[in-house]
Amino acid sequence: MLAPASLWLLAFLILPVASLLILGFTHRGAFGACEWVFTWDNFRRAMDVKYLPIMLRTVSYAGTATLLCLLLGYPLAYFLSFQAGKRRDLFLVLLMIPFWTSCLVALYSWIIILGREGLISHLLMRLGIISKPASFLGTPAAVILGLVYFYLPFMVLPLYAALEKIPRTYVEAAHDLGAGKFEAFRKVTFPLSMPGVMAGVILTFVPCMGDFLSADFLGSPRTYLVGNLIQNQFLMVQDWQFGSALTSLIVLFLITGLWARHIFEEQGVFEGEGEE
Amino acid sequence: MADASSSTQELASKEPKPPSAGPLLEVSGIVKSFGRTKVIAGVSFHVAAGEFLTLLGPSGCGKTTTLRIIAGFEQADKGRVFLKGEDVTTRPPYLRDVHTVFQHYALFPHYNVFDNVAFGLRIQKLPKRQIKTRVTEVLDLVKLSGYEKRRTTEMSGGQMQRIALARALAGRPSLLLLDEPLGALDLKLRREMQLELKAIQRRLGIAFIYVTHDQDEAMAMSDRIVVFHHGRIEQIGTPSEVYRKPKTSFVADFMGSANILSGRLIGFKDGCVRIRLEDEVEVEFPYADPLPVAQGQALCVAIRPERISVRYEGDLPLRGSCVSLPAILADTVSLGDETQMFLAFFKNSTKTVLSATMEARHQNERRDGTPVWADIRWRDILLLEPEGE
Repeated sequence: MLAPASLWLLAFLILPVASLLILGFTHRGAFGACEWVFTWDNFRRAMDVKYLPIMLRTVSYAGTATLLCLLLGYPLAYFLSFQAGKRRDLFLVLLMIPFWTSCLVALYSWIIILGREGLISHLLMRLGIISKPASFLGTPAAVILGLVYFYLPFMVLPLYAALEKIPRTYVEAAHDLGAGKFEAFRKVTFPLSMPGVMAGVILTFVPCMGDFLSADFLGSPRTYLVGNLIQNQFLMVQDWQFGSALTSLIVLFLITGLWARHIFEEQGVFEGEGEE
Repeated sequence: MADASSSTQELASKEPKPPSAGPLLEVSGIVKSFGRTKVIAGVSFHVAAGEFLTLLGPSGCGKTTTLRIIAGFEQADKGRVFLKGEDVTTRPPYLRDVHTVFQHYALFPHYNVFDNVAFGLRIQKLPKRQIKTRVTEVLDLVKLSGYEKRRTTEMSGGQMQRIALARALAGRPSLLLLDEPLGALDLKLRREMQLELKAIQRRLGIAFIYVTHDQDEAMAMSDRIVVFHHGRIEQIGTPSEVYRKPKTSFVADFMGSANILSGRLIGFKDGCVRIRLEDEVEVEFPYADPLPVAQGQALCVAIRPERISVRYEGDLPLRGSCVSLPAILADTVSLGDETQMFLAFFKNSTKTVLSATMEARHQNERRDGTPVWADIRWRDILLLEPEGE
């Protein structure tokens, strides 16, 4: 039973990450050739202060997008799980539609919507908020919007699964003991859905950290993210060594985050009130 | 019933009744369907303050749904629920002075024992000190003092049961609803908990509505029993009433066991009934209670196995006032301290087999196929309406 899973992990996770890590420690020869000489150069470069703004921007965009996904996704998942009833399957399919659409088609649609002649511009003019057509492309908001659009299902699905798992008698028991709807949610449903919140945050934040398409299409040089930087190393500059070092750093950053969460969880930081 | 409830409603809205007047809870004309299935078809009963009332019936008879309607988790399609004279039919569960002990406990897994029990008290925003006193008190009552910090997920079924009880009692409701609370416990623990629950109920003077399918449990604990069958109430009465004077053959068979024979009332004269049993044997005996059917009609005759005494040829008959039927000993089953005997009474019908118990000392005399006599005292023969319809 374990063997196929281990093989899978080895082939599709460990080997690629290990090869990236190894590549990061090699020397880039002429015309991007790989010279098998050990060097810290790539990592030293990756940690240069000039990349710090890009790093911080990426973390803040990914963080904002994750938070927005949570704020939008939680009510949606709650509705699906508690209220949708028989229409639940239909809503789940609707939620998956962004997955079926090609990224490029979706991104071009957003370009049209956000552009100077786009829907948003028209709407705001109608409402008298702006006086002449304006483009929203190239703004941080547009990039974050793209991230939210793509990764919302990654938030909703684990949330939905977690909410679905909560026995309804817990909610009934809370009502029975005098808790109104809001209090029952705050004291029972929400704390019990925390595993889903955690999973959703991780599943959204991690890909947001590496995303480059949203910034590529909806952004501008001002919204350049780590993802774009790495993509450029591999596809434009042909500096795979530097790209690998950057990637390794991001992976290290994320692993540290997950590990810290795990430690907190062990210590019971995410548990109930525990007051006396 | 409808008139009475609407006038009570008006009364309640004009001047609230003093709590001592009338029953604590009154359920009147409840009807409930899920989709096309009618689960409850017109159920009315009341609970007095401090009373232990059991809703008894086989699974799917509507007893749990009735309880959920009283708690407010389900809305009745028709009928009203009055609590202390107030109409609470449409009130949400969190505004009813009623707490529930759930079948599978429904203890909050993210809280420890203390937090679970304190849940309702914190909602009520009681001062911390008072919450602490109450929780300690109620945990003491269920004999779980010192378990405050334990996680509920690490506890045994019996302990979880006690915490669920403590949590429901902590808010001091005037009425406690218990939905098969001992269903998941093993037999020995069940018996212990039955006594303990009853003792706690007496001590606190809180009215209990207890749902169970176990008639022994109902007999052991209740002040009154409401027997449910197919979404209707078959009978309401004290344990001895429903056992001794069952109104229907369902009740007769469900409360303890009973042999239900088909019969026909062929005569009634001078307080004596004449009945033809299973279209074969005619018996005549005095019967004091009102007759369930008119002369000439079919009825059910119920006889409890333990009320049949088996006599071998040559033994002395039971003294006076009994009916004696000839029978063949068909089979015997040993149940430890007693032996169950199956008797074939009737030549034509193979279905009707009466079982009787006999003391162990008779065991060596038994032999299948032996002709015997079955003596049944007149007062142990119950005449009931025929089943079905």
